[in-house]
Amino acid sequence: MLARYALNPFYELTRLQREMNNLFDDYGSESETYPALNLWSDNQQAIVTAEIPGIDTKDLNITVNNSLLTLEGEKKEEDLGKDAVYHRSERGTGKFSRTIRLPFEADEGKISAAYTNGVLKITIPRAEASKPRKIEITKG
Amino acid sequence: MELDKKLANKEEKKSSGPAELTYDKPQFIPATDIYEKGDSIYIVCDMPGVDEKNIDISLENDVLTLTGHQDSETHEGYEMLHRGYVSGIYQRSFTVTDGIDREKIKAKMTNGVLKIELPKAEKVKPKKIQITVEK
Repeated sequence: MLARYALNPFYELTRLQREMNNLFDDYGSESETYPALNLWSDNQQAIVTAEIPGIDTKDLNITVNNSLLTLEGEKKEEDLGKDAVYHRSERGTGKFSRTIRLPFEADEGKISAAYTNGVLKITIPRAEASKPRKIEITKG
Repeated sequence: MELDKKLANKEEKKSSGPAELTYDKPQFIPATDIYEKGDSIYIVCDMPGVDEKNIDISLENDVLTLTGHQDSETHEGYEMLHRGYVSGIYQRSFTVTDGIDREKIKAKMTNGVLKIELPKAEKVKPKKIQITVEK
């Protein structure tokens, strides 16, 4: 934190701006940077991975519209009962929503997703219509 | 109990103190909840991307150290277009007092969440003393 502050004189300003923005958000609103995503692609399909530990997959919603992939969900608070006393609580809860643009149009019917060890992996095949076509040149 | 912590991605540990890991990988501090319930204390750590077999739990001189190695994500033949996180090692240590029954510590890994149960030792469990009123 200190190092970042020293390197960037605007850090305090951007932080203030962020705080102001947060003020106008709804209380406990959706996070825009959660979850962290990685995106890979080749000519045929794209792979998106996201670190979302401890979520119930039925609280996850994946939608694709042309080349926009939206990942929405909610991490719910675990009900521990009345006799539990917290010493420390750092694991966040709440709703999140992230949308990313894929490098091509997706074949919406063929998208698959798997959740392993708290990491979501979405495989998105490229729509047939958007695949590059080699154009044959005929000699005249 | 107020729980309105915002969702956050994993935090990278910048300075690792006097002792560094021998692995040349990014190190992360897993977000952790600790609570007491019944006769046990529970430690719950977020370690997404860590398989059960890559978890290491050690207890040495009152220090409980939790280490989780993430499998690195590689997709042969694919081009990386966006990187929002990197893979590395989660590590965090907690001091465990004598009040814990060391033989009965249990751990469970579910969906990238490590849950450790530290049962309180018999001697520290509060005992209810019955008072009989003599008439």
